[in-house]
Amino acid sequence: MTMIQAQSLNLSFGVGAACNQVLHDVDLTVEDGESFGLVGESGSGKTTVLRCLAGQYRHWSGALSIAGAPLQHKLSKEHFRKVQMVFQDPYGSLHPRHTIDTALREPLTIHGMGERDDRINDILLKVGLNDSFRYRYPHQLSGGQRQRVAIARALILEPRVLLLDEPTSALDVSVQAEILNLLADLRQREKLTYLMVTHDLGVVSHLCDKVAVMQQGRIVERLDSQALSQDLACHDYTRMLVQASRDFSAESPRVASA
Amino acid sequence: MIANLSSTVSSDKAQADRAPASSVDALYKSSLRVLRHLLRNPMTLAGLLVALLLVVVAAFAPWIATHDPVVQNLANALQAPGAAHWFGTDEYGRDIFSRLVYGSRITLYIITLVTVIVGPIGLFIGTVSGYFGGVVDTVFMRITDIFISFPSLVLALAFIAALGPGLEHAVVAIALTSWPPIARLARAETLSLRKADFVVAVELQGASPTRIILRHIVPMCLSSVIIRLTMNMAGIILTAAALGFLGLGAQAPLPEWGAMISTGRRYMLECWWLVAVPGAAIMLVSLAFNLLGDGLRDILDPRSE
Amino acid sequence: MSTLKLTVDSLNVRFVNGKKETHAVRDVSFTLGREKLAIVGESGSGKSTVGRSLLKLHPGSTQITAKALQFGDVDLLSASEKAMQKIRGQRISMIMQDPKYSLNPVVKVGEQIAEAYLAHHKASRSEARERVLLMLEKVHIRDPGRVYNLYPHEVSGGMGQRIMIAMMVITNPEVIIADEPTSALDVSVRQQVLNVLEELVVEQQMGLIFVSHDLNLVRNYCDRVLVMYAGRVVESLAACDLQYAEHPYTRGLLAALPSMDNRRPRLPVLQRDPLWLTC
Repeated sequence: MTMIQAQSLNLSFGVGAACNQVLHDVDLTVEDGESFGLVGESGSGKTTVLRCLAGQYRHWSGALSIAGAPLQHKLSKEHFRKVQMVFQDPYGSLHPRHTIDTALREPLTIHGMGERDDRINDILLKVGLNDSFRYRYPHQLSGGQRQRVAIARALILEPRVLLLDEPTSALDVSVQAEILNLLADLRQREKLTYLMVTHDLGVVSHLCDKVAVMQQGRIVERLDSQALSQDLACHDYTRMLVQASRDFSAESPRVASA
Repeated sequence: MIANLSSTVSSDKAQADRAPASSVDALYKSSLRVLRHLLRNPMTLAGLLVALLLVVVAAFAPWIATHDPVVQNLANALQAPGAAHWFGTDEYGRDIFSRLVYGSRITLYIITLVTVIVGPIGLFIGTVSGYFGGVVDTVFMRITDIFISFPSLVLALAFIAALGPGLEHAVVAIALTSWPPIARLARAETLSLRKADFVVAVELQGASPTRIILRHIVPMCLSSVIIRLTMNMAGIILTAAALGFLGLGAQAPLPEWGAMISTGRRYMLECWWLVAVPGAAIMLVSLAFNLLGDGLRDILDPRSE
Repeated sequence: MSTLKLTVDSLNVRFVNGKKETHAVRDVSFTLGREKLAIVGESGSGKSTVGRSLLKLHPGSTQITAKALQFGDVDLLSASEKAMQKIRGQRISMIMQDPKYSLNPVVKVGEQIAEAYLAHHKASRSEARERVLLMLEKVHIRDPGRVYNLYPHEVSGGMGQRIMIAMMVITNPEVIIADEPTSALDVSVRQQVLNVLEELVVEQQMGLIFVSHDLNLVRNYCDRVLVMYAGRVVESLAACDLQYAEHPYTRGLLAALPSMDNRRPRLPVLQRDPLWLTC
């Protein structure tokens, strides 16, 4: 079954001469239970795709659908229970004045879900924290712990799709490994579909089955991550990215150009 | 998986021991922290003490005052400060110390009422126009601009001229002139929070705009608004005194500090205490609120954390 | 390796804040010659603090102690603030992480570089301009004349960082400290910037201290690597020997790195040993 589908998605900001088109005819299909990676550099529009799907940008044109239900420009509450997002910066995505308990209770209140205490305890255990964290403030937690809380907040509504916006790029390598393992476990146990945005090819080939490479608002290549690591990429840009991220090598061309 | 992650949890054991057990506990601990910081800075402490003194004096005025503040005794007029009258007497023989003590009630009344009116109005207008932007923002901010473009005392004078002199009208007039800076402040804070990840996160959970503003944006604006309100209190005291001095605020025989200076100024050259004592009180209290506001900024401002 | 530029012996840095004392760097020793030395570690390991304490950029409440902190003929430990000002920028330069924050937004980039040159050299404005144009060419900026007159917000991240490098290298320093110079940049630009930096280091025979969290980058870019953990150097080895690292921390870090070529279902998680904090 197709979980996420985007057909000729276009988005631009501004009007008239200042109009800046950030997405050009993006087509994307992610199957149920799949983990899909969007790779690109800053300004390639990869995060924008995520934010359209999440419902933050609503003036796109084209067709988007989640689990077969087409997205309207005015979103229903149901949509937010199906799709949740984890942000890049664990320091900015939690309200500094809310305890972890408040942060996790908020989505339950919004959607009128019951058994709130049990749900909060359960979800904290699922992301590898315990209830001693419940009444702490974000500034009392480390970056990795905050990111776990952010994942818990996204999962507490029991969504089908998790949108991951560079979830580990602000973390240290050792913490990144923990979070990536957690995400892999959660996907398996909760039967989640992931759409992850990243610039790190190592991370994407670790967590994702399929990869799309974006450049300047367009998808330039789609391939399996298996193919990516076996150097089977065809597009020049993809090959350049692979080359650049595969260890800075002494053999690489020495001549830089402006 | 949980076994796998036990390392994260166990490495946190030491912290877990003093982890707060409930939201009340967490709130208690963070307010304790604020209080501790407040007491560490001597200037802030001084401001806090004077502000508390004002409240205590106002609350226990009948017990603190040595005389009735309004009973006249012309035989006893214009007495210099001494044992019988600590701060002397005025031209009607009323004890200045007692009038000062009762005057603190009026000062406190004005400060409280103005703050209670101005805080919510400013917060509401600022957060709503900052959050929604567009037309809402333009309309609200142009209204704010109109109010801000008048000198506040002149605007207050105009309102009192329309409403007639009196303490309540002075309060309304001061409130009308002091909400725009609060609204602007709240709007600026809201604009920077608008795109913050934690606000986007609740939006993506399907929260309504009312909920986002009330539960997520207002708490973040609150600290800077409280700081601003505390600093404003000094200005409110001065404006209230100025209105009293001009005869437009509290009416005789109410012992309002500004009015006391106003009536005392005729005898100022011979009897300095008529003007100096209420003047010093005004200065001391407004300075105290300024110091307190400064101290609160150091503690509450999220940027300094 | 031939000429010794910098000798650091048992460097300790403590931040004092009221009664709280943070011991950020503990007994760090190393030497720097004409080479590229990497200091690698996770956030909070003290790697940036080492770089900054060499220039004494910390506030006055910071305590820096060492058995030796020798830079050429100067003892940095006892050098006065005035002496340090002569060293900073002229003999030891520093490149920061993000050019957006280290360039003055209201001054043209060319003039900022000229300013750096004039601060340490007696020269006329036009001479300085010539030098700057030459320098911009050296960092592979096409059309230096045009770039000279741009404001920082008009240049891209990669170009900004190359401008920073030009600014830092124009005084011909002996040592450059680069604090995560490429972590704010896209991979495609990162390579260019690193190449430019390397060319200059080789050409002008400078010593480079490269502070980074990226083991993979450092492995191929630098000559020698110091691995820091909780303020200590836990391992010091030649960059090409990194895969033979012995310390469990270094090995753990390398293993925890997701890699395209070695796909594993789970990444090994670093188990921190409290013993690392004592030995």
